[in-house]
Amino acid sequence: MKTKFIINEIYQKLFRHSLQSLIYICVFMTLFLILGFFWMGLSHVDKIYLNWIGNDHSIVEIKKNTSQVEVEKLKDKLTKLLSAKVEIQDSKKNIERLKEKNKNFKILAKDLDIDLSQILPTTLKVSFQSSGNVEKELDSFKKLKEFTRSDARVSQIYLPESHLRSLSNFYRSYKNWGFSFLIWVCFTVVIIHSLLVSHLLTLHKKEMNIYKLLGISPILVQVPYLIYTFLLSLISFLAALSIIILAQIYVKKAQFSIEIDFETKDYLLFFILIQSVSLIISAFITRYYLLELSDE
Amino acid sequence: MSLEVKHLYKSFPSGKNILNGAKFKVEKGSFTFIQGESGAGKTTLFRMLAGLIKPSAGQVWVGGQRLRFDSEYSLMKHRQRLGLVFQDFKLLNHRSVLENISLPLLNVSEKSKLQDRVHKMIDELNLKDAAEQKVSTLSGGQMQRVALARALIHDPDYILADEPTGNLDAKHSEIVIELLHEASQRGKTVMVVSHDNEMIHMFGGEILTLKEGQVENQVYY
Repeated sequence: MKTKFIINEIYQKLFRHSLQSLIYICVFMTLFLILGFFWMGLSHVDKIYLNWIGNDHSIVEIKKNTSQVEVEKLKDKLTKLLSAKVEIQDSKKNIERLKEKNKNFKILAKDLDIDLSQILPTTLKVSFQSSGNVEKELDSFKKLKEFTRSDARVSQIYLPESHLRSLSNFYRSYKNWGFSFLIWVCFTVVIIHSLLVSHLLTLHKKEMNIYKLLGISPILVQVPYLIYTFLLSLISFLAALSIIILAQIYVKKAQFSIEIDFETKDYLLFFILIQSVSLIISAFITRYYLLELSDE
Repeated sequence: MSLEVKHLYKSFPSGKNILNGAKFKVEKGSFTFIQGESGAGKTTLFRMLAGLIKPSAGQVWVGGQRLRFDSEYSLMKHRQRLGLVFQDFKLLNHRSVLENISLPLLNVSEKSKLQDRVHKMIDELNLKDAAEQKVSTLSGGQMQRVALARALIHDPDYILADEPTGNLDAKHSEIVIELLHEASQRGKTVMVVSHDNEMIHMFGGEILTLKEGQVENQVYY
């Protein structure tokens, strides 16, 4: 009879409050929509940043004795290797540009009678085209670096270090953001779930009081509530899981340069977290609120 | 199984004193009506005897043992020996008549004998047609009879009823009081809060009159 009572209680609790269940689903759907908008907003930021970094350029300095033909070959090789615009800046042009930019240098060079062509050799200006993908952009920088190290015609490379650093930082934080997203989803779900469970449980105060005044053991009354809470937690967990999976699909489709990856142990941890929070709340509410008879 | 209260006081946070040193004793198998004007403290006394509210001062003795209001376990055991009928019935509206009546049997270890009582009680109280119906679909009178059946089903030692005939017609009132009377004849201690003087005189028993939170008199009819 006691088992029948418990099963009946759980069934009643789950299906009697269909309106509350509906609210439950609506809250999660709203949560998901907010997430969707957030993702769209972030993809916009992504493009703005890449456009800006794309305007920058790297300088490849070529050894002084390299012939014009070799410089041309080098330019073609770089163009093929990278999705970048490569421009030859010969020594004369470079000297002129330097003179224009720095008048003191012009005077100094004249006074010291320095052959500026020895100091300012021919260079290649490499401007990356914005690919719209942070990972590709970083990959291009890496390729350029490896190329300049392996090619004997190149003396030095000047990467836009500051911008590269910004890009790396952005990339790193962007990667981390994937993890923050997961933490955020988990905690939002746990908080919303806890509030809803608390609300749903308080709806049963009247019947809990009836059980109490009939002298029915509080443990027998609490068991269906704990199972009910467990089932609600399972619903919350599945809802959170669907949000994460949908976000993963969305991120993949939108070809963002981040990944939302969860390991089994993370899921397990999240499940344990949501269950523990729910059961603590349930036990607390049933003991100190639902089973408390009014003194008035 | 006697029931005794000694100098019971109850004041609420609003400052209102409902019971002012009420004292009386009823013996095992007695049938007692509690009467009094509105605000005399009848319902408060009923709730206190049921262990639902704590007295501000004073004691309640049940079967020669002092009721410990500070022990949830003791109160639970006390309630298991009671059959309670409330003015507002306190039924589970989403449950069927049968389920409501069977609820106290959760506390009983030997259910087989008492299971038969469920159907007998349903027959006696003219609830057969409504047995599978949800309580929320019943009339006030039917609800009152369900509440009474639930109070009697586990054959409790004490039966406390607050206005058990308040929503009933004359015929059903008579059935209800007869059932309570029979219980007292089987040695159960029955206390009924009632305004119905005609019924009180019809069945006889003890009458406990409350006035301003005190027992004004205790007479036997």
